Parts: sequence; structure tokens; C-alpha cells
Amino acid sequence: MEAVARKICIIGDFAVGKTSTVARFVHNAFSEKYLTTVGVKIDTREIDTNSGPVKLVIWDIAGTDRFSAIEFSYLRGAAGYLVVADGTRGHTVDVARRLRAEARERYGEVPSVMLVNKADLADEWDTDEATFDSLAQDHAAVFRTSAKTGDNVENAIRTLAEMVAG
Amino acid sequence: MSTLDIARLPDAVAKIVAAAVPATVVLRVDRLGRLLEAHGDASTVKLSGLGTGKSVFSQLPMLEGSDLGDRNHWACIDNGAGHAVDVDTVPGELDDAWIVLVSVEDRRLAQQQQQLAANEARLMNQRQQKLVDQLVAARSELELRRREAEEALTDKTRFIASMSHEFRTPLTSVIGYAEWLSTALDDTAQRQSRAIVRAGRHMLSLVNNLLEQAQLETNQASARPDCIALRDLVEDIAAIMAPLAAEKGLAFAAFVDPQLPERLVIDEMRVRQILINLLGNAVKFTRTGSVQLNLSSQADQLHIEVADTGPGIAEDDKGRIFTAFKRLEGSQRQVGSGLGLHITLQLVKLLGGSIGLDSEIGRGTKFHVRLPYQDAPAEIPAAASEPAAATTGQHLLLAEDDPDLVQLLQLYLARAGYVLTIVDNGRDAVSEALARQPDLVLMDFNLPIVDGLSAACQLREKGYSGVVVALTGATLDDDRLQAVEAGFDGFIAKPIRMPELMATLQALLA
Repeated sequence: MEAVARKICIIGDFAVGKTSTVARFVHNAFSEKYLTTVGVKIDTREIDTNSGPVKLVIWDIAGTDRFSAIEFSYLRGAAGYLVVADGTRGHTVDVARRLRAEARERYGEVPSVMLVNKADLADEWDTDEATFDSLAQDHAAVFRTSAKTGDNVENAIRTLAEMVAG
Repeated sequence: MSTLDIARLPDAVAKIVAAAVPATVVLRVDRLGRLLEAHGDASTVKLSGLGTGKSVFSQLPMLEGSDLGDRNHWACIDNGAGHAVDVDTVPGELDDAWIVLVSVEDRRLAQQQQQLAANEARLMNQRQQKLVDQLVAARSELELRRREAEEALTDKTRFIASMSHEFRTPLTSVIGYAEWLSTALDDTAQRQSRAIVRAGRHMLSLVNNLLEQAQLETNQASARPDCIALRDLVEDIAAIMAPLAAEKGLAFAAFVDPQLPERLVIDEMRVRQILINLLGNAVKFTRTGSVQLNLSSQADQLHIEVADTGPGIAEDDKGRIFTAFKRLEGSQRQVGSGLGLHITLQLVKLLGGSIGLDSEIGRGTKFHVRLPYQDAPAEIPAAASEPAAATTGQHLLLAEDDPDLVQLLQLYLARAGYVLTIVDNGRDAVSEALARQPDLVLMDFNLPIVDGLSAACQLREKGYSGVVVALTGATLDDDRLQAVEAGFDGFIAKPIRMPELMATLQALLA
């Protein structure tokens, strides 16, 4: 059975770990070195879902706290969003909320999964349970992830893959 | 893949290519996305193996999800081969579409360096801001804890003041009755009653120390300098200490340098307490020999010297003896609350002075206190130091709810010739005072029905113009201020020393 291709966009503020999350998911790798993304970096990975094999074409979009017309154009045709925030920088959750709302306004309802990243630095988190509860209302699922250790990265992206595969 | 010939391209595609040649690749696809034509050098955008007839979506995953029938522009997209391209899609006129890939790798690299520096600076700022926020939060927390601690300390002071008041009222009766009896009984009974007086006064000094300590802790204490007769004060202190020393077989002497003025301005109550604490300690810890008090003037300061022939204080202990609740090792030093010297130090500081000591083990100790004072103004008349023997039937209203104290005051006041009206609550005090217009109202603070402060206010509001004197165990500065604001003319602290009471009444009624 030939895999269906699906465009997935990963969005969030700068330095929340979007590129690292994709690297963990696609290459099972992690680098401590911070390299900012310019424009879009594209990676693909094929996985099996309950609906059959899916080739995820992941658009890793440069971090921003607000979409300009250019970033909006990147979202066009996306089957789902991975929205990422940094648990140690509470305001990046607000940025994630704003980006999700802007995307919804522009392209309507598209499935999304929220990743609150850097779970390996839990001691430094300033994101509380109430925040998670409210995020759960905006997304199909919310995960505490760590691109560094790999915790929940696979779960989070597979959850979205199941939703867009059918 | 053919060479790129701009002339063969549609105008919209040619415009894009013209701005970017030579690093440009142009593809033409049919409506199903199959690659029909490829123009340009694919290696300039790090692409290879583009095959016509195959789906362009599988060959260029970046196009997944895009509608090639629409005009699109995507800037700076990594084409999957680690090379950044701008991608444009332009609908064709033959049910086809054109895809233009322009290499922007150089631009991406330059922009990445720039953006990296900017992002790292922003991250640094955010981390700094977070630290600042944490510091502010920590400071707020500390401030909250400090306020809570202060409130707890104030509550404690209030509690001690309240307890102090509770002690003072019965102590007035204990000491007062014992003093009364000591003049009326045989020698044996007089000695016994004097022992009661001494014990009562000792207990009073402990209560005073506790209260003073609480006030000093909360910075509620303030110096109240007044014109005093220093020699009278020393005589008074000697009268208290000499019998205590004599009981232990100690010689006691007090000297006042003739160079010291007869009258000077200083806080008498605090000086009295300093003297009692130092002399009390000296008598307490000296087994044989003497205790001596010397007062002199040095460099315009009152110099107090208290010398004893007691056990002395070890060098290591000299720094510790002024610490609260620190008592030196050894059974003799374990007597008392451990507050005396600590309070003495605080009182000396309160009065702007200094304290020090010389001591030698086995030879004794000499404390030196230096206190600033002011010369008494010449026009201030000397206060009456002796109570009046009798009055001429002046009318006095006594408002006090402690029956033992009422009986004791009756003894003294009647002997002094006052005509008394007695009530046991504030409401009756107001009505009786307004009806009978006594020369003086002597009123407790803590009266039932209407308290003393409210009663004084009512008296003043209703036009009573006689003298109103507060009689209370409350001794905080705040209480004194409240008493003045309520309309009291004087303030007598319990336990009442009868000679002082008589002198105060006489002065106020003069």
C-alpha cells in the first residue's frame, strides 16, 4: 500500500525546540547547539497508522511570535499543525495560543497537537497545570515533550498523524 | 534537462527567472502534477535525477499540499537536500503549471547568522527578565514574611503589655498593703511585711523588664527626658538597694559628685531601671564585700559606675553578657530572667549613651555607663518630692474596679484628708463626676461597661473641667498618648507607689 503524503507544519516561538523535535522524530538525533531556522526546513518520515502508511512532510517554520503574510503562506495546504512551546519560558505558551488562533482565523479548523517542550528541565518550568487544562481545549492533545531525551515526541506526532492519515 | 531559455517562457515565469539567473530551475507540470519539462542547471539548487513523466510531488516533497493551479510564492525553503530555494508556482495556459526554483542559499546563510545573533540576544534578555522577576518575587515574599514577623512581634508586645497590666494591679495591692502594715505592726511583723514589699518589688522589676524588652524589640520605646532631681533619685535607689545588700551582709554606698547639677534633664524612669538592673545584679552575685554606686559628670555626660566585689566575669564572657536570655554558667549566675543586662544595654542605647565593664575573676566587676543629659532650665520649678501630709478636704472621685486596690487607696487617700466618691465602672464615673463635680477624677483604664478612655472623652465632651488622672497598669507609649488625647491630665502607672501618688495629686490640685 502506497503511503499517502500529508503536509504537517510545526509552529511556535523561536528557540522552543521545533527543529530539535523534528530531528528527534525523523533522525532520532539531538544536538545541544542552537541553530535558528530561516524560512522553512523540510523533512519527511513515513509511518504506519491505523489508516495505513503516511508520509509526513514536515514544514519546520522559523520561529515567530506573530505570523506575517509570508509565514501564513507556509501554512497553506497543511493537514495538521504541531504547535510547540517551551515550558521554561511561560510566555511562549501565549505565543503558541496566538499563532494557533491566527492560523484558525486564516485557514479554519485544522487538527493540531500541542507540545510543551523541554520536559527534561522540569525544575525550571513556569507552566502550571491550569495552563495545560486550558491548552487542552484548543488542541486535540497536549504533551509534555523533550526533544533532548525523546520523551513523548513520537507519541505527539503519531497522534497528529492518526488524525490526518484518514 | 534543457538549457534555460527565457524567451521560451511565459511572461510571468520569465520575470521571476530574469531576476535570478543563473541559479534557477524551471519545471513545467501537467494538471496531475506530472513533470513535463525541466529547464536550467539542477545542480545549482542541489537537485538531481528529476525525471519527466513522474509526479513532481514525490520528487519535490516541498510541494506536497500545494495547489499548482494557484499562484504561490514560498520564500527560503530548504528543498530537502540542504539547499534553500524560493519557490514560485504559476498556472499555465495549457492546463499546465510552471514551477520556478531560485537558489537563495547565500541569502539564507547570511540571514541565519544575523537572526541567530538576534535570537540569542532576545533569549539572554528573556533569561535576565526572568531572573529579575524571580528576584522581585523573592523580595515581595521576604517583605511579606517581614511584615508577618513584625505583626507577630507587635502581637507579642501587646500580649506582654496586657499580662504586665494584669500583674501590676494585684502587685499594687501586695506592695501597698505590705507597706501599710509595716508601719502598723510589731517589729517581727514589720520585718515580715518588709520582706513581702521586697519580694513584690522584685517581681515588679521582672515584669518591668519583660515589658521593656518587648517594647525595645518593636522599637516602641522612646526616651522621655524630664527635669529630675538626681540626688533624690539616688536616695530612692539606695533606699531600695541598701536593705537588700544588708540582708546579705554586704556594705552598700552611693556617692554623687558635687560637680553634678542638682537638677538635670534625662529620662528618669530609664535611668532608674538602669541603676536597679546594675545594682540588683551586683547585690545578687556578690557574696562578700561591697557594692558601690558612683555618679559623676565626665565630658558633659552622666557617668554611672557600679562596682562590686563579686566573682567577676571571665574575658570570654564579657561580650556575651549583654545578649538576651544568656546567663553565665555557675549556679549563682542562673538566677533571674537573663534579660537584665540586655535590657540595660538597650536602654543605654535608647538614651544615646554607652556601657562597658572592667572585671577580674575573683576580684569583682565595675560597670561604666555614660549618658548624655541636659542642664535643667532655670525657670522650671522643682517638683514636689514629699507628699502632702494632709489636704483641706478636696473632693476626689476614684473609679477603680479592683476592690482590694480600692480599699488600699481609701486607706491612703482618707489619711491624706481627701473626700472620696468611689465608683467601679466608667459609666458611673461619668455620671457621678458630672453630678458632683469633684476636684479630681482618678480613673483606671480598664473599667467595665465604659472603659476609662471613653469615660474621659465623655467627661471632656460634657464640659467637666476638673483634673482627670489615669490610673493603669498599661505603660506603653501608645497608651500614654491615647490617655492625653482622651483628655487625661496625668498618668500614674501601677503598681502605685503611694508617696508618688500623693505627690502627683498634690501637684495637679495645687
